[in-house]
Amino acid sequence: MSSTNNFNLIIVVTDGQSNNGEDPVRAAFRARQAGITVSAVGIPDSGKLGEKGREEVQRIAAAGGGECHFTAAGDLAYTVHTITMEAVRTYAEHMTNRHLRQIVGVELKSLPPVLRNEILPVVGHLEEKVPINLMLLIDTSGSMKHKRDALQRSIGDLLISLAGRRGPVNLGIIGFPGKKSAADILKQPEWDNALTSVLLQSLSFGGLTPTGPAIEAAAKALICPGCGTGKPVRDVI
Amino acid sequence: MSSGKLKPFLKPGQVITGRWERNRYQAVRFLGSGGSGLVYLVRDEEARLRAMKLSTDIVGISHEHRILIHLNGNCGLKDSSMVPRAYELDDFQLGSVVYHFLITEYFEGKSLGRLVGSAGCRRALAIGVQISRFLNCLHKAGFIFGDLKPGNIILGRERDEIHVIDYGSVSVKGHCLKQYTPGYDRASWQAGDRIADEGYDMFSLGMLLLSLVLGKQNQTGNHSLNEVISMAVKKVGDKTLRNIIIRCLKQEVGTCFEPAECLEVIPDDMPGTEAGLKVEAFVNYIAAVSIISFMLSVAYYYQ
Repeated sequence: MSSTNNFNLIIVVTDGQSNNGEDPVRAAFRARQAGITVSAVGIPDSGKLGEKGREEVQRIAAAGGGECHFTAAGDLAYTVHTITMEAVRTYAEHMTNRHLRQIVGVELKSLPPVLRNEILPVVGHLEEKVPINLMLLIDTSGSMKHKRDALQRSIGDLLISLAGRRGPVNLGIIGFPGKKSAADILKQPEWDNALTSVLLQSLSFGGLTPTGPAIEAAAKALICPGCGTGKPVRDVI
Repeated sequence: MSSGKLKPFLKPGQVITGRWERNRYQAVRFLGSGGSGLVYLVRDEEARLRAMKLSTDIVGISHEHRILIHLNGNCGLKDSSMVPRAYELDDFQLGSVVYHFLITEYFEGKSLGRLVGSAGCRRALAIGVQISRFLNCLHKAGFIFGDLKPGNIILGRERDEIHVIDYGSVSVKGHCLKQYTPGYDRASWQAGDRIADEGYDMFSLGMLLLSLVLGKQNQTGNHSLNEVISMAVKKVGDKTLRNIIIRCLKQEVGTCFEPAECLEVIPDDMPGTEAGLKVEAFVNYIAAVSIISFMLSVAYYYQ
């Protein structure tokens, strides 16, 4: 399988509105054009998200072709699991439809239900085995600090879920804002999945919310893992 | 899978016609939102009541249909009403949206969720025995239920017979589980992974039974599984139920409802409470037999 058959996913976890750098909706749209799905989770409990913030979270997911969920910090682990599984399912369905169109010129929904049931195992197979490159984008602005435990549980929980799949998974974690730049890439996708708690401890909470630049950095790391953080993603595409 | 956000839109009396089979169904009333869609009570053309699950998630609903057909045909529960009969899967279009609908048998009764925290031990035991039979059967067919929780089970109106109604979470053994509910999920309790195996379902069953008698247990950072087990030891009055819950939570697979044969002696039409008594009687019987045989062997040894 070539790398184009890998499923590239970015999940943005935020409790506020972006206030630094480029428009996150545009960044999500560009990521989508580069074959990356962008989903978003909003945590409204600090009250910082507001109506505009909610709308932004929805628009990021819509532009990125992904799902959007709102959740309390305590349910973050469950939400991140669900949004990831949804995205993988959608991708598997999309790939199956693409193959069907190429071979017989139809999609799953234009086949009678009896035939669909025959093709269903193909979707299940893809869902279980497609290689996943996942970038978790964590808002590290000041108000997220007391949600560190919930974040840690979520990442641990997600690793448990993903480890159960048969296909390979690369998980990257990005904190935004970073210590020096807009986003710190804590784990590149090609690294092995270990010790997230240590990584999370190294995140420093506080500062602005540069959601757009963070999505760019994540997209760039997914498309070109060894490229470093120098160029914006549109140059890579 | 975005169909979880669907809002009820069929009005009572509204008729829909399947795109492929051309069968017509009239909506009677909205029953509730399931994991992957809306559930309506409908009448078919011969005025029989059926349950209709409606969804835009083509993969999810087809999966459920496939599992049900498999269980309807192959499972040892063929004659029982634990698994609803699946009649058909079809589509209909409303505006620009294509909906998929699954027609199944309809069961009157209430959600087991309504019994959480208020069931007596005997009643919980009788329910547990039935769920265990259901799981045994599912496991033998190579499937793991996954999201086992009170809300996925209907309790019959007259007798405490169970009907399992949501199959969206059912997974092939060995695959990773995609749907779960934190309180009943062993991984959330740090008691294992989310790879589909028998122990996963047994753990959920243990939590389910515990929640029936003591209320729902929620996992938080400081409420560990060990604490829950000690609480079960202290507070579950019935010894048989207590042992079953503990063995299930410890995922001593295959021994949760020991001995397996005791499940077979309970006839399907046995009212719930009596079924519970029967189990206990049988467990006592087995205990007595094993003690006697042990004494006999000891006696034989020292002869």
